[in-house]
Amino acid sequence: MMSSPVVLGIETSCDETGVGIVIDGELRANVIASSIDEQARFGGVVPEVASRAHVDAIGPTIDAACERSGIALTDVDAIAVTAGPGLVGSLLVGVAAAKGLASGLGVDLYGINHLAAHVAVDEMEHGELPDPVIALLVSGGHSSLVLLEGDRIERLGQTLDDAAGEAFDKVARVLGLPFPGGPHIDRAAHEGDPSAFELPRGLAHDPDHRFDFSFSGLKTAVARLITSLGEPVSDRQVADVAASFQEAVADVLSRKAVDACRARGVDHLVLGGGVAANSRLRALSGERADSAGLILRVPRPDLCTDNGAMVAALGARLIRHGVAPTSPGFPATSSMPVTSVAFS
Amino acid sequence: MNMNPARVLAVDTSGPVTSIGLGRAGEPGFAVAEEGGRKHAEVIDELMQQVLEHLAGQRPEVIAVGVGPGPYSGLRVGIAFAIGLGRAWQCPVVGVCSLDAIAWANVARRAVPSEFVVTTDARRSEIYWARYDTSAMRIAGPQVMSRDLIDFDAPVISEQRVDPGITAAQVSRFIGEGFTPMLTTDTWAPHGADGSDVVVPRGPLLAPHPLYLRAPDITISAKTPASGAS
Ligand SMILES: [Zn+2]
Repeated sequence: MMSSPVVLGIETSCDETGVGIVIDGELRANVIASSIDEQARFGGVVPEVASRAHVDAIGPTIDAACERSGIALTDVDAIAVTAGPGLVGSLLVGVAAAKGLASGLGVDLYGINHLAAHVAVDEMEHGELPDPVIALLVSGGHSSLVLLEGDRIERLGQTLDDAAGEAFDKVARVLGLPFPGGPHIDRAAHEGDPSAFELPRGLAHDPDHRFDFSFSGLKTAVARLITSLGEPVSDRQVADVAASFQEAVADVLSRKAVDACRARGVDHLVLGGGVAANSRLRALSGERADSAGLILRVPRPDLCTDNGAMVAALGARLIRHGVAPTSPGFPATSSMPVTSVAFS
Repeated sequence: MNMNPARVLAVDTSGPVTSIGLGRAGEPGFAVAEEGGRKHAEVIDELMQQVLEHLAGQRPEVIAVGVGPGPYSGLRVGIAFAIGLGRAWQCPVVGVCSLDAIAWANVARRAVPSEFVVTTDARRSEIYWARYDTSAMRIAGPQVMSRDLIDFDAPVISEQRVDPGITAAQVSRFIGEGFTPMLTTDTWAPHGADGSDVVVPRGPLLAPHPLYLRAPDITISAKTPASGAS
């Protein structure tokens, strides 16, 4: 077993091309090229645009990560790559590049689960994670509550419709705020009153979906609310709607996450995904975790969004746990088996 | 100075077949391929294992990759793989138009008495095509056009036979003859609005960048299927 492995991680599951390098458990590079500016023209992620951007960005992003970390590719001991879940066309670019790198370098390759990587990245900031741990993963692409135990990942709950980040984007559009909606709503909400409007909490009391989420009703309620306010909508009203919407999302997410920890007897909760950067979600999760006697761990914002560091971090964790590398021939898949942290 | 012709590794995923080959000028060496069924990204590293065994520790000096035209997702697998391999081996990666590769294989197999056209299926009742002289140098295209709108006055080869060993040998020959890879992508519109507006450099060695020939479909989708990442 490698004593201080150099692990290079590649992430291309959505619209960021990310390459990270972890050396001896320490994050040494985290380079991201994003097609977000291109995507902003369309107000959402266009899969073909994302795939085109990945293939152009992958080589330069690998180069930049090596330069940043001060290593040569020949120093790399193992490659990890997101094999799913995500957009297949995007995943394929990262998986193919990783296979080219690994076969050229003659090193081990790990095809890993994107959701597990969102959890593992916290080790780069706050040290080794306890086992088991529960994670709330919320972004433009996913909203899941997962339990990570050993090399197994269990999905406790998920969104039944929109992802949390998608709800932010759609509500931002209704409010006339730019894409991506998350940071803009967060900013507007600072000036607003979170109790100004009563908005629905989807599935809050549905025993059949105790850990699942639903944001489409909330999104519709906001659209209806804006219409009822009539034109023109004042800055004050925008701030109040943003704050009330954000409160509803943070309330239901943090409540269910803490409830899941209690139900499974797990005392560590990790937040991950782009929406974990939301100030209200962080604050409310902190308060609720505190009063439930849980320890909340939230990676810094640039590690919460999709990046290569999280993939390298999970790769390093798998090596540390003695997990065998993935055999050649593994696919890129939109629906990675939820039980697998890595393909075997 | 090394006077031996460069040994080239060629990869192509522009059609249903994933193929990797080795060759140098005048010496198409070795080729492995897997047809249909399993996807490019799943077979490419297994094929590469066979190539590595054949190489027995030696390293090619140049990587050539088919840049299409062809179905985009598959195409990008070969290109991304070649880019990764090129980074690992620290060697240049050049793109070749996959229709050129079919033309080279055609001329290598038999004497060709006249100009000819290579076509491949572009779906949506369209074809990709390019026209070649008797030595398989491209003289027109590639373009994408409706099948019904085009009537070629030259023999048409419409089977997709990229032989990566022949591609590798041919690329090696071009390098020996001093052809410079046209490594800029700004000589054509990578996101070109429609086929007729796309200008592809005449030289046979291109950037490792897909020849899309069509603008992207602007379908904003949920990022992932509900069964997937959600
Ligand atoms: Zn993510």
